[in-house]
Amino acid sequence: MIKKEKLLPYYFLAPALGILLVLVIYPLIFSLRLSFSNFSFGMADSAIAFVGFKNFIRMFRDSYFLNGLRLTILYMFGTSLIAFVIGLGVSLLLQKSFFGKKVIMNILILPLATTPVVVGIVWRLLLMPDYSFVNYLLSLLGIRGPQWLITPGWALFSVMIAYVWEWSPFFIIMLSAGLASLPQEPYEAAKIDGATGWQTLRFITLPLLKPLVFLVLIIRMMDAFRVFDLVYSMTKGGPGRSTQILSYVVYYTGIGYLELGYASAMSYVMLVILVLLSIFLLKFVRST
Amino acid sequence: MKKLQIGFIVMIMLCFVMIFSGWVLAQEKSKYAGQTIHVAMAWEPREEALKNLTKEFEEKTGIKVVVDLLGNVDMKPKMLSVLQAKSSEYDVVQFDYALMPFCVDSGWLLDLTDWVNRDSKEVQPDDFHPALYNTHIKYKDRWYGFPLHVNSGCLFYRTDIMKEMGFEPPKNWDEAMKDIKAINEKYAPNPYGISFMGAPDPLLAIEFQSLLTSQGVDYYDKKTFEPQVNTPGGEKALNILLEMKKYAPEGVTGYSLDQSYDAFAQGKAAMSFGFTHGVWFFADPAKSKVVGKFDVMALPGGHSILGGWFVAISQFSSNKEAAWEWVKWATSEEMERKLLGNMECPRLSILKDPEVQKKWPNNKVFFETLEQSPTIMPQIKSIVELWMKCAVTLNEVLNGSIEPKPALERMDQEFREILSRDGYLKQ
Repeated sequence: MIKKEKLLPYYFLAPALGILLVLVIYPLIFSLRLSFSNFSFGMADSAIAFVGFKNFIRMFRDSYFLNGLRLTILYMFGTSLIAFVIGLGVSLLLQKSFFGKKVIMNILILPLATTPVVVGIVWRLLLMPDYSFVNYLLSLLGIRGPQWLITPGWALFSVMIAYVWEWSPFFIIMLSAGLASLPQEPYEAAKIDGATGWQTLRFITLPLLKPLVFLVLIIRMMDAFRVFDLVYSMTKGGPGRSTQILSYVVYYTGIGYLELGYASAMSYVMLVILVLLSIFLLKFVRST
Repeated sequence: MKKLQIGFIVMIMLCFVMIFSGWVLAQEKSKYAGQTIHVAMAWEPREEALKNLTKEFEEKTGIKVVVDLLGNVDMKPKMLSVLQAKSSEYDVVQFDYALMPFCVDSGWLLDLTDWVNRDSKEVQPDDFHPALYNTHIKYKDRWYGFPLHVNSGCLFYRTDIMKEMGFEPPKNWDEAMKDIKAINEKYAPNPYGISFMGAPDPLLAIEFQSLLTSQGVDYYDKKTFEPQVNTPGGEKALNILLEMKKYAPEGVTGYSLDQSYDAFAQGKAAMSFGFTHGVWFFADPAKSKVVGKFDVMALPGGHSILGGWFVAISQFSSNKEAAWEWVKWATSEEMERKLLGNMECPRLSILKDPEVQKKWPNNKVFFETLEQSPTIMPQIKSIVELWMKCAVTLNEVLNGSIEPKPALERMDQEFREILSRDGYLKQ
């Protein structure tokens, strides 16, 4: 007979677990089932059939999926690394005390508080064909700016700029907090030994910050891998398919093309890639 | 005295008649009174105007109507999810006519044929233009929908520039391209020759379909479903599109409908490939610099594309009869006249009216289009996939990422895959 006291925690956990089960676990299982079926909108229940790995095999012959995967990986690494470099640079600068530092910190947080769709619309307006404000500013310097959002190559870069603008403050805040909490002894020792600024950064700051850096990178890379709103509001996947990142392909396959079975299979491949990526990065953090 | 008595009796009788009539009317009103119906429609000016008028219907019938206006992007997924789940959330739904066969085959829409026959005096079925029967109204000879939001493809042009150049409205695309080129050479960049929808979204594919039909082909043969894009006609259509790009503003490959309209309204293009309802935009002094300086015509060479949505009653509605009352009211001739300032009209009695044609030139062009065998959008389940894949390839051609010939081959290949997969094209 299990003692009542032992069961007590489960009673308390039951409501939360129940909600989790309904809102998270059930949809996950349901979409997993869909990913092995031929289900599409409008299909009669009797016509829905198990198709084994057909959707998964189809995916790796689908040029739209493969193109989306390539662009997503490029986007994920590109944005995360650029935002990290900017974040680290600014957070190092912010370690010094100067007049107006608090104001700058507050302004830096603003992009984080903005809805991604709004960020996308604002950047679309800044870079829009024929009426680009950024190109106007460049023209004052005698530079003819490109057609940012409609030129293959520039379009993905433009979406990346918007993402970096939005999320660099996240790196700044996290790394600033990390830098502020570092022990001062190694720095004092380095100073006595005559280390240069670069040597201090390379051999003391970065190694000490490494666990935090990887954690922040994992969070941002996972988010960048799933990006949709910015692409949708800025380029709608264009020009051609040069910004059709994976989540956009999944959205169009499911909602536009009505193929929910195939779209679910794509989502699961995305999920597996993300899980593998985070396991790898977490292992790397632990080992260091 | 006797006269007074007779008068009194007549008065009493009249009172009885009035009370009885009132009771009968009250019974009529209360037949569905107290019921609530939910209507889902696109968030467009016409639908918004209809929503605002719905109070009249509520007062007349006692039926409460909740109208949800949904953004274009949200509407389709929302409707599909609701109907797939066999939910009674909406009694009246609205869809693009391209999706009518899909919705009917899925068992989602109520067959209205018997009700239309029963209430034919109110419905006036013969008053709808016959060209709309196989698109917005009937499928497999059964009545499912009512056209509520209709339009057609067209060409807007600047009357002042055409006059200066001594040009008449072009009769075919060859003539139109000559005019566009000449205007561009003389005036560009203020204005360029033409603006059109060059962004990789379905509107570019729809535009291309009009060019295909003007060359005697289509996306595919309507009987055999054999793709027709990779043919001499398809090549000519693609060349027209490529030539248009030469005479359009630099950013045209990023233009969807709004940007294309903006270019024409701001005087940056002398012509604009668009839809008849663009008239309202260009005639609005708050949005347009070309008020009084433009006119509209059906696409050169005829075969303008027919657009628009229909309303239908959901098979899963729990208030079907009340929903039917609303549909009859919303699509009646009386309502169409009230809504004339918002969109084109599907009813012959109004379209043929010379005063309407004079006051609303978009209705004149729409009527002409209906009379000249318009281009019909593909009515297949995978219409969006076909549009999107076509538009992406066309946009790549316009951007110079792919040459026209391989682009046509790719479209042909993708169309074959889609049409075979959905069982339309027999291998």
